[in-house]
Amino acid sequence: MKGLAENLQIPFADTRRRESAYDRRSPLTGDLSGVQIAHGGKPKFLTFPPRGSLGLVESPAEGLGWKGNDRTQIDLGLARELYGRHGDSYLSRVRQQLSDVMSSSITPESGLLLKRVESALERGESEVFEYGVESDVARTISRVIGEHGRAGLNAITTALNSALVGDEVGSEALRHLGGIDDQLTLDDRVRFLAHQLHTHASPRRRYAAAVALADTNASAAIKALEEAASRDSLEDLRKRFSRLLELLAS
Amino acid sequence: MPSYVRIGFRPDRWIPLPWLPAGEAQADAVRDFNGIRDNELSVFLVNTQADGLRAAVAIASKREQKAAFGYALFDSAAINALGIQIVQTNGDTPDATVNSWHYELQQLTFSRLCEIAKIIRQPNARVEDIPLPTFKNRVKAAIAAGQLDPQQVDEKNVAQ
Repeated sequence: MKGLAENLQIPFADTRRRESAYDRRSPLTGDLSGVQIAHGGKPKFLTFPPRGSLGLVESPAEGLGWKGNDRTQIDLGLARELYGRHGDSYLSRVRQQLSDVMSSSITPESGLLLKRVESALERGESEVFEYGVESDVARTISRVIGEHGRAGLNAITTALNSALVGDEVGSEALRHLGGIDDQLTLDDRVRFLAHQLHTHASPRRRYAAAVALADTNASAAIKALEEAASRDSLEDLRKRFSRLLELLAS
Repeated sequence: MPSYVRIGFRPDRWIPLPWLPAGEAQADAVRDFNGIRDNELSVFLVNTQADGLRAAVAIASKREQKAAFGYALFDSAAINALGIQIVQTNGDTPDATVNSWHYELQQLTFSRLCEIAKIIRQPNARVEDIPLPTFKNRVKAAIAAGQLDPQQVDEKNVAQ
């Protein structure tokens, strides 16, 4: 498996439905050396907190309203204009600036954690996930979060965002993110799972994220499930999400 | 509708993906039959969906559950019509009543397994997850109601 999203694209709003603010703040993690700034659409503002997650918001004010972390913003409208004027040299400068900011959050420890998670996901490709047998993927996820908390979760979400993780393994990993008994990472896990539920292209991954959210039984998780139960593009999934809610309430 | 219940399914493998022909199951669903041993499949016969949940919870309660687990509830008459050898044996769960619902589907062939998979994919069947909080609540309620023998239930399933 290659490293992280080596050709990460930062898209402008191009969704089938109206995004919620929650969607727009969701993480798009990746190695900034491969960032491409997409063209088209109205200007967006790229934000990213120190831990390595990128997000798009409609306005600088909205980006600044994101709780918790300091962030840097880049006006992509201006970026496009400068890119048009200076071409690749400008893009290189942007990449360098992004890398400089991001490097403050990329520590040797986080690199090792990421490798650990990526290795587990890679091994998972040849693993048969069977009921009653704790998979290597599930065990690694649980340990990485138990031992490293948010840094561990960050490594997991980063690795899972790689396009090289298949649905079988990705779903196995997602399914185990909900039941982990770690209150410190609960909000972050719910946020990540909700993003997967609302935006992932794979129905299997969306379902796995929904199950993990149900396992947390957190109010934000229920809200995300309710939203998905009314708006997912697949009728079968909408029914499944409603059923999860029904079971939780029973 | 009388149905068979079996746990250990991962429902995302049973989602009718847009590219799937009607009535077909994903090939990945074959992994949900890894528990087959000696060409036999263990199932529990129930008459209601509520009993299906009861059976699933009882079966799962013997082991610590760290996450949601899936189970399937599917048409027993359709299975019986396949001509499979079906033998009633005593189940091994902490719920004595559920144990009396236990059957073994025996002498299974690969093609029979495919037929079973198709029956599980039918609209009247259900493959779903029981979320962890729901499972734990139901274990506690079943112990309180005297359905589950607490001595046989994994203690972590009743912990907060």
